[in-house]
Amino acid sequence: MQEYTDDELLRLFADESQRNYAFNFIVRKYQERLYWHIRKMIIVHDDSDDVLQNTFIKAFKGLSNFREEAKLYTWLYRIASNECITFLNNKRKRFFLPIGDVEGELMQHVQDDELYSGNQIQMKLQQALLKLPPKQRLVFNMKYYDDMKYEEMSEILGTSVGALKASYHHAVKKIEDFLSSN
Amino acid sequence: MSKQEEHNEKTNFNITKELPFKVPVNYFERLPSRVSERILLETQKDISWWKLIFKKPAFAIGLSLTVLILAVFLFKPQKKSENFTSRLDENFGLYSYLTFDESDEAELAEAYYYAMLADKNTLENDEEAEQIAQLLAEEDIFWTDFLEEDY
Repeated sequence: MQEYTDDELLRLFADESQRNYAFNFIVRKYQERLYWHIRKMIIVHDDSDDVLQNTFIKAFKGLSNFREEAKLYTWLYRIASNECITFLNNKRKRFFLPIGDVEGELMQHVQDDELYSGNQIQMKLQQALLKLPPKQRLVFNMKYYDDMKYEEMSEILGTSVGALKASYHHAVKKIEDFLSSN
Repeated sequence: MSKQEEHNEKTNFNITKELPFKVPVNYFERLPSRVSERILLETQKDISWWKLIFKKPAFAIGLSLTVLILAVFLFKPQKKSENFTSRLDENFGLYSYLTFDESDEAELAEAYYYAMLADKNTLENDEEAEQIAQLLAEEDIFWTDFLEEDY
């Protein structure tokens, strides 16, 4: 497959005759990273698939107005993060579930899911993660799993670096407490 | 790196960062074409009414005519004679109509006038017509006043 830089893809996208071709490359380039980012939040594959597709559709619609001072990946990551939070909030509203019940339902899904491949310790970590509020979980995932810099996270989440550090610190503390008590 | 940052970076749990999830076979191979299909569907849905109006003059004309016809139909003032005639058509009975509790004098006079125009001979030879005329006379209203004005 031919490789394009983000700038080249954006230039191609600006040309209406090349738009679909360029966007197809953007999807291929970022689909896996975005999928795993979403999957860590949504847990269930089918729901993650929906959220990922919505992310790409929003990106397609908004890409003409994309300001190139931000990185394309950062921008896509931001859309995906917002879609995750919106999805979880909607799920909560739709079923009149308090926060613990949504996460409890997701945990049940992890335990029963044939697409889950982790061991018992990883299962415990997932349990601990699902106890965190969604935004804190997002911060933890980006730092712990994706090794993202706070500055980059700040750009994506629109939160100050200090607040992100504090949020990550609290998340780690809660997870440690959960793991030691279980 | 500050102490706080060092603390933030460290975790006391030593768990692999490998994600414990899998995806269905060929998921990522198929995803781009599925996304393309959805984009096609979404962009078709997004064709707004305004775009439709500007791009298709026939649609705009059709829409304008429909709105105009509806407006005429909804806001056209109804003539009283039509009301009265329609009530007659429903076999409401002229006398019953004229003596109906909610009818006022003006309505009675108008009703009588239109009834005269509609079927003058019948009313002239009808006992009921006499009763109507009497009723109107009590109110100082005479159908002949109407006839003089209009004829």
